[in-house]
Amino acid sequence: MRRLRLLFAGAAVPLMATLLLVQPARADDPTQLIQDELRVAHAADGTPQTVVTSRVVNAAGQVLSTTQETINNPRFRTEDSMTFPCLSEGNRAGFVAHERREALHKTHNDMAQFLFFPYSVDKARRDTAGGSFEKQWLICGTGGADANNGSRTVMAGPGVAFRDSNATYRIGQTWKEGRTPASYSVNLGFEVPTDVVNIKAGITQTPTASLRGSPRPPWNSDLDAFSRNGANGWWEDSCAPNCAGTGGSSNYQGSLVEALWQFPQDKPVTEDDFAMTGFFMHRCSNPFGCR
Amino acid sequence: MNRSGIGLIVMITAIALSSCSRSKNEVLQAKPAPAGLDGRMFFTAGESGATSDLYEGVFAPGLLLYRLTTSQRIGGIGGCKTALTVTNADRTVGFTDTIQHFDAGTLSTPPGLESPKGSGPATGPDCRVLFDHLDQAGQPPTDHLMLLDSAAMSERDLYSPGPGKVLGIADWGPGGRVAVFEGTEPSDNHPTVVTGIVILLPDGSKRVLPPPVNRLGTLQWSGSKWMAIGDEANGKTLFLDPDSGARKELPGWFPLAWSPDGQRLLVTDAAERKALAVVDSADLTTARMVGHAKKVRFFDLVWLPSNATAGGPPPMGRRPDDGDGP
Repeated sequence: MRRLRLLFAGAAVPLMATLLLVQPARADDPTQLIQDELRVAHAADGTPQTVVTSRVVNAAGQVLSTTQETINNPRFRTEDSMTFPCLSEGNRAGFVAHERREALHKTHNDMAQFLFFPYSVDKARRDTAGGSFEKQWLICGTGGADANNGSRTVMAGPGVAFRDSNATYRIGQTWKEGRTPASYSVNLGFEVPTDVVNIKAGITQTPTASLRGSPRPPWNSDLDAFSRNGANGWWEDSCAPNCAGTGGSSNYQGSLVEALWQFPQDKPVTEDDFAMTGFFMHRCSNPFGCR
Repeated sequence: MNRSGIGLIVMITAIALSSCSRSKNEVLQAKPAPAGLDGRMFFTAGESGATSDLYEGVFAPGLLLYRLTTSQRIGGIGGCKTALTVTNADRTVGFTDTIQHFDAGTLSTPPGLESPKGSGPATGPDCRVLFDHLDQAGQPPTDHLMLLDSAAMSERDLYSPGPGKVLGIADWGPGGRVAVFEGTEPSDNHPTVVTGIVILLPDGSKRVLPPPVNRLGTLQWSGSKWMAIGDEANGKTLFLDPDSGARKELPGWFPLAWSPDGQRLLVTDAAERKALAVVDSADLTTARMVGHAKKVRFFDLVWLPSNATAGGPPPMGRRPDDGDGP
């Protein structure tokens, strides 16, 4: 009997140790949602970075906590943006492709990755009233998130906004909209059936989820200030907007967005003038919490 | 309720329904335009200059606007009696300015045009078209004023300011003359500064007028002795007689187009670009209001004779999309 007690005690020690080693997750309560915004950034020396802003909100939408961290993006030896086209529109004659931008965040449970492809063309058009030259910027964003170990994706998709709240420069935008049937790989090629196989092949939509878009971000974000110059597209689980405690996907989910802006030729514009953001809302359904 | 009461209600309902139905399917017929406003008018109009469409305007007698395109990528326009030329920058042409013909809802490349990339068409009475073409093949890119003669299937380089300079809006003038703005190359924080107006004569010679304004604006000359120049910075129209040097001003209005006979100028208000007024060449300082747009703003206009066939048949038999009408 004494041996039996020791056996139980011996088995209990590692179990307790395991329980003690579980770090408190950002939102272990399944009724809470985590709203991650992954913003493209770079260090002073040009090192690509991702600024991750995480908000924990309760079922009523109240923000319970906010954290922010800046992460250096990992480097890959075989990167080649030309093998990962976002859309064909930026490949139009005259458009110059700029360096691809990335927002990336990987945790124990979740991996969220968003890629942005900026293009620009000088003297694209003439101002109709005065005849001055105007230039255009076109940015395509794509990406999403894959949640594991009890983490569930509720919304995921890219957004781009020119950081100006006083004047409208956006002259066009597009994103995929509609509900997704079961086992159907959605063609995320927007309005054109293009050869964007690299992107669409990886994203399998679950039944009754939605692809949505708006000039405004999918949730209350400081980027809303630039909505007149913004475009956002995201995948949304069928539980939305009431996903607290229910729903969510453990598959890779995401979307695409593209927008076109036009500026006077003499207005200085660079990639840094655009907020390129990945939106990733998720919740934890793991009783042991999510890390 | 007795039987006559029920009958009365049925009758009132039937009348109400029929009146609703009639207003929904009502076909508006244009009445003769007010004196001095006869002719066919095509507008570039929209929420902004970058997101404009082509409209045909009819005075009946208030202004009625009929939308002819929906891409929101129409820029400067020009026209003669038989052909309407537009600047298009929609998806089908790769988002950058492209010279095209518009006829009955269809856009196409004009005959004789080798490189359709260009903007700001200005069409003479003989249907020859001036337009700006930026040659990006050389370094640095150079601006060229091109002349397209679709009847002769020919296109030629009329004038280039050379490296470091750009051209603005061009227009035909009396006697086959051509006027075009010339200015400095724009760069970050340095918009184009006008250096002069170049006048090209039919014999190939040229003269340069000193800059009447600092910034590029519209230039409307056509059959009038007066060049009407848009002074964007000061919100006014500047009238300039290039032969005598005489000047006049019309504050608060920007020029859109002269009438086919060169006797009247249509202008739009500088504040919103939603009102239309007409200015008589006998009194260039007075603008008489003739119409309004509720939604769109006016950016360019072609004013053709009443018997013009350009653009296709007039848009009768459909409800207007904007203007003073219902």
